[in-house]
Amino acid sequence: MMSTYSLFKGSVVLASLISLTGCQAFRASVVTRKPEEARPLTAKYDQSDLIAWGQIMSEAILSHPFPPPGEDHPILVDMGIQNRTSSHIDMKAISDTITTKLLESGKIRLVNASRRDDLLKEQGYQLANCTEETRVRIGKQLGARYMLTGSLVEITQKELPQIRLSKQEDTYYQLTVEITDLETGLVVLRKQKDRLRSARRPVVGW
Amino acid sequence: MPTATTLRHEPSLKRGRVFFPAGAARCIVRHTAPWLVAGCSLLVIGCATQRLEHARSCFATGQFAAAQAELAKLPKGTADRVLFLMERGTAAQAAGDYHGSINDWQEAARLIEALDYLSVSRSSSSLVINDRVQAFRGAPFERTLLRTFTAKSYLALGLWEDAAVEARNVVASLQNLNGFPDDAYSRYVAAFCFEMIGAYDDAALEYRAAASLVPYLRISDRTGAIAPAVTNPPDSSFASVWPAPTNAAELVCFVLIGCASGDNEACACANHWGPDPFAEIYAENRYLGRSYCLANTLALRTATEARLTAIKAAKTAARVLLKDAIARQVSKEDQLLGSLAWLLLFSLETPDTRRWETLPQFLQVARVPCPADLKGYTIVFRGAGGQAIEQRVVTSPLTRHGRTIFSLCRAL
Repeated sequence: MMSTYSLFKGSVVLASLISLTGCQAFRASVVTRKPEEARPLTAKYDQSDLIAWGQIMSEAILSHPFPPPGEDHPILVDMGIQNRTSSHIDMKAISDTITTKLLESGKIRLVNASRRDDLLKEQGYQLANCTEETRVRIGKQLGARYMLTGSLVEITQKELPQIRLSKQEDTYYQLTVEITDLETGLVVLRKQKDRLRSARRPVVGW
Repeated sequence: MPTATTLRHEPSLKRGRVFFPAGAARCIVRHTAPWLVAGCSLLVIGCATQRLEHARSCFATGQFAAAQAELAKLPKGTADRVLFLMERGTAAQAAGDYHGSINDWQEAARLIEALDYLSVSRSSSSLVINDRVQAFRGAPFERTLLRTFTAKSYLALGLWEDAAVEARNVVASLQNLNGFPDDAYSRYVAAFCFEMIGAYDDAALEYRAAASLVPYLRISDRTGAIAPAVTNPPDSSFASVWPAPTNAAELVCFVLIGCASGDNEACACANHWGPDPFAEIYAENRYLGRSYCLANTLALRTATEARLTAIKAAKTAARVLLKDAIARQVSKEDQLLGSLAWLLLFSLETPDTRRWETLPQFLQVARVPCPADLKGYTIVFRGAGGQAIEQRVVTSPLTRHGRTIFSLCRAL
């Protein structure tokens, strides 16, 4: 049976070790990091995917080439990207990232489809309440020529239950973005980007 | 009484060490250790259980907001957290707080995923105390119903894509069942979610899978229509085209009856619903149709427990042997302490009866034609003999998607 003195000595040594490490492990800290440099923590969708897909997809669209030669600053409407995965992903964030990069290129114009109700509400208010020289003219909204849509698909594979110390999960995403001519109904371009990430988790923990 | 001389010559004492009477330490351990162990065990089990039971009582009497409030504070550890979230989510959905139910159930799903590993500390503790120290992750059918109910909350909010996300999780959870029971109701809900986003192939797959699990019913894989099984050739009540004529609307009502808090099916029959209740839907004083039972949670639980019986029995036997061995070992050192240890260890030997008790017992679906401008309907809950047990008017939720109107209703 361990003597009391041994226990006491052990406690003093442990407390000293903790003090000497500067209590770093017990201190809260906040660090600002670049989102693209953050290490992925899971195989699932994260901010690095959002940033990468926005960049890669917009570059792919503009190098297609889009807009077609002869068309000067065509008007695009973002009708959203469909979520066909098993995770609740903010699809608006993905389409916003892509359309922001397209807008920044200066080659396209974008109508604000998601705010149409707000636009009409404000126009109605101005018509009823604002002075003639300050209110906007009604019925002057521009119509879009192209529509941006797409889908995000996920395929997840997990190792079957077996006797092992860890299990692997592979998550594959495929993002498809297409631009459709609203007049002819033709798909003028379709781009696909994908990524596969593997994560390994221990099956035994403390 | 030890003197200074005898203590100085005590083998365990050497020069320079802190003086401490040799027998005092043993005395302190003898008197406090059992209480410390008992106290810790009671802390693990006791306080959280009381709040949970009170919340369940509130729920059973229809006080859903009170049940939610009782569970506002989650337990600190992870042992019962999932169970609290499941129960709180049910109370939230019953109270019409669909966002609250979604938050709770998604947190529960996230925790279940995070707790999917063999915990060395909890497993070894469970061999000495009982299985209640293990983190509760729910039975397989409870984990599936978690996703199913989350999907219904999304449907109630008109968030069809998010409902489809949950539907995919339902389908994933029903793969590789490993002998655990399948669930026709969850498959039907998943199929409906796929239908709402236009994924008709996926919907048809799940309708067919649900139909194969309920041989007493026929479910159309193209329209999701439900009718009693007939031995004659095709029932003309099924639509032959997809979608149905545009001037017709369809009400899809997910009806939940009873509470799954009984110990077994026989016990459940003794309650006021009887063995086979159903609901009739009326609108503008016209009979629209009735609900059909796709799953019974007590039957799912019975099948799950049958699957786990051998494993649980082996674990209990191993735990009893270990406790006996520990008590015997302690007895060799000190007879009184050994007796105390035996008493304590075996008083903690209680089965793990944690379950999602606010689940409904009968999971039913009514898919009926209705007026296109439906603003509310009357639902009459009947027992197996056709006697009316409860009646209410439902005006919410009534979420429209094209010509389909989604609703859900629960009777306790």
